[in-house]
Amino acid sequence: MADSAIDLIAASNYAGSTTSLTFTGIPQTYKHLKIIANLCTDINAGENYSSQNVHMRLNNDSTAGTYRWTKLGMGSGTYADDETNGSYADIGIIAGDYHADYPHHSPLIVTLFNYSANEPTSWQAQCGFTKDDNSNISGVYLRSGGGVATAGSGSDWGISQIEIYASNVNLTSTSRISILGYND
Amino acid sequence: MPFGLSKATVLGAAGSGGGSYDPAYTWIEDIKTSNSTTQEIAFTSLPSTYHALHVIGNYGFTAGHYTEVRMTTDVVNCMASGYELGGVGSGGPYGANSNQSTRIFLGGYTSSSTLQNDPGGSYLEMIFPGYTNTDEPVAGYAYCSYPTTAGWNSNLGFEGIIRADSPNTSGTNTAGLDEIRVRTSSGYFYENSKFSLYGIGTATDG
Repeated sequence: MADSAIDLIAASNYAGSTTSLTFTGIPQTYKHLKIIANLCTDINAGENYSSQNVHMRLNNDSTAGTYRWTKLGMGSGTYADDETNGSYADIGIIAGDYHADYPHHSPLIVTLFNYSANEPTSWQAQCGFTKDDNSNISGVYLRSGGGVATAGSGSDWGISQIEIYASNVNLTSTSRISILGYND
Repeated sequence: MPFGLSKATVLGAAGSGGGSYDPAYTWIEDIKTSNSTTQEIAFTSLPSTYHALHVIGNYGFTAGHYTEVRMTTDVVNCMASGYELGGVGSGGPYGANSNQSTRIFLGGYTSSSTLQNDPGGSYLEMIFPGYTNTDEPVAGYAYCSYPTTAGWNSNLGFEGIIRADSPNTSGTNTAGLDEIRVRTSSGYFYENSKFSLYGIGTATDG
């Protein structure tokens, strides 16, 4: 029987009233990973953010310069940004708690290429939201891409841990992440 | 595996990949037009056993039209946020926030002089994570391309986030994401246009 080309290797909901979810022990037996997530902002947080960024940290590495990325934001306007000395990966933007009748769902899709190799790993991410602000449409879609280099010590880099976290606002327990493994 | 449980700890203990994992993708349904007089296709029986739904379309038009999407049986406002990007004569990127009354427009449309009068020619992909949630309006990712080079606005594609305003706070709309419809703004899909629906992962309230 032929092997499955794609496996579901991890899935979990956020605990609720938390910003972060971490997956550990990711097997090194696949070629690529795809992260598919549904992120819901806690609208009762009282933080009054219109939106917030979503970050990714790999192998619990927060060393400045580990992450380099670009991003392109689109919606009512357009903007672009990049980072060459990042301590995290900027992978998306989600609805904030301001003018949100519902914890609007923000889809997040990230593809990590060649993640198990001892070499820089690149990713591509898509994320965004639409929100009805007192009957006025608003929203931002963000496409980002970039690369993550091997740790400064030159140690092996295969990615075994992935953390996805919102920069300021909490996420509800209906927020969920699935990680798919792609075989060679 | 029970819904909502993480495999992360299991992975840490096992440390190996292979056949013990759940299948990530499950094919659900294909819809293929058998003529060139079909304006709309619909996935109306959405299983509730997956984390996300994935739609892939490869289709043509009988003339230059928009592609439109509806995500619910409720006739409600439909919102999109993203960008449009074109080639010859159309340029971009253009930021695109929109609020349509019944459907979501996915960018520009093909010209009547180019690829649309063939099977294929246009491509659509959508992913809806957390689609089973009926407490709040669910959003999805959408990408649509029209690979033609004739005329201004004829080849603008769309990429971004789409959402229908169901359920809403007033309670007049309650269905949530209970069906997926794709249609042309006018005219028809070309014969042998094909749309496939897949399920991803395992279901949860999220």
